[in-house]
Amino acid sequence: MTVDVGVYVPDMEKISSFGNIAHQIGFKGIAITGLMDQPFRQLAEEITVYRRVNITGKGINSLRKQIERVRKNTIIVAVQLGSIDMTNWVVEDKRVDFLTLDPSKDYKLRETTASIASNSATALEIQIAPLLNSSGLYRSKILKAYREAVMTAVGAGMGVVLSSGATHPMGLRSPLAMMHIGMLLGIDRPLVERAVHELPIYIIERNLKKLSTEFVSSGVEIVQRGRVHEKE
Amino acid sequence: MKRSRRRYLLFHLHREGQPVNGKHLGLALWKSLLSLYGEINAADSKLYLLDFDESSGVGVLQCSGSALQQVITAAVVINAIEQTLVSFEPKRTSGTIKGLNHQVPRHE
Repeated sequence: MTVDVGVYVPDMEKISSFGNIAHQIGFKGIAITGLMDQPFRQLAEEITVYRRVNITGKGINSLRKQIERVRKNTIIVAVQLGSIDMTNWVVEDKRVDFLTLDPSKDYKLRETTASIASNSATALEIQIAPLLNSSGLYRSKILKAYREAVMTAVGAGMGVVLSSGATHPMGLRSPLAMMHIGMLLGIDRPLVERAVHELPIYIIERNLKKLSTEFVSSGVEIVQRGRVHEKE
Repeated sequence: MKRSRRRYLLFHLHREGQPVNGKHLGLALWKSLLSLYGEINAADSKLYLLDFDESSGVGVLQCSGSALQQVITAAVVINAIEQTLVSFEPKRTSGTIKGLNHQVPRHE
């Protein structure tokens, strides 16, 4: 089961055209930003749509408040790579799933940040849309930023996830196509398979489990509810 | 000079809008390969669009085995051909064209 975890659907009327293409190219699910109230829903095209929230804020307090507010009804929580202090705080927080790299900004992924992220299971998200919408020198600069970030993340043992970042149905790419773009970014074959097929669904399943009423904390679940019999 | 093996790629070009002409697709593939990997690699790729059905978007291209990875990547990053938004989906590769036909029908 493969899921594209970064899709930007402009309005709910267009969701079926995204679902249709996603189904045709081999996805079972897409995670969309905003628009939905519930954590997930099923489309007629045999596609599950998951709720994703991109959090932006100027300071740690603002981020903390936003994460608290959205985490309980969201499947994917992503924060954009920013200043060192904020990013290091973000990747340490286990409620954050993705650290998204914006190639148009000057922020770089540092080894220390990647190392903290590898311990808290926050993954680096690379969206391929900027690569598709550019050419020449500008694309070369994007490739440089992505390849450096990927190399730092892989070196530190931080997970890497590839998503489309599509704002249009034709911005979606099949899982195999995404794997080839991953290899262009310097990810080797086993890791690129993990970045496209395994890690996204692992994170979604982990978060779905957390939303379940039986979930208490990591590794603790209610397996059976019963009555307490008092001694007479 | 050692002769490299040919590889064949079955693909599906998804589109939104007007059908894409085979000639324009071939040109877009070459341009993308040239832009991403340079003149030497583009020349060595021996890229050739063997078959393309404009209405279904299914086609077969041929390239040298050593350039297959580069050709697929270059094709995948194409986002528009002649104002038509496209999404290139590599389906299957084979060492023989017959192999592709056996595995997946060429015209769906």
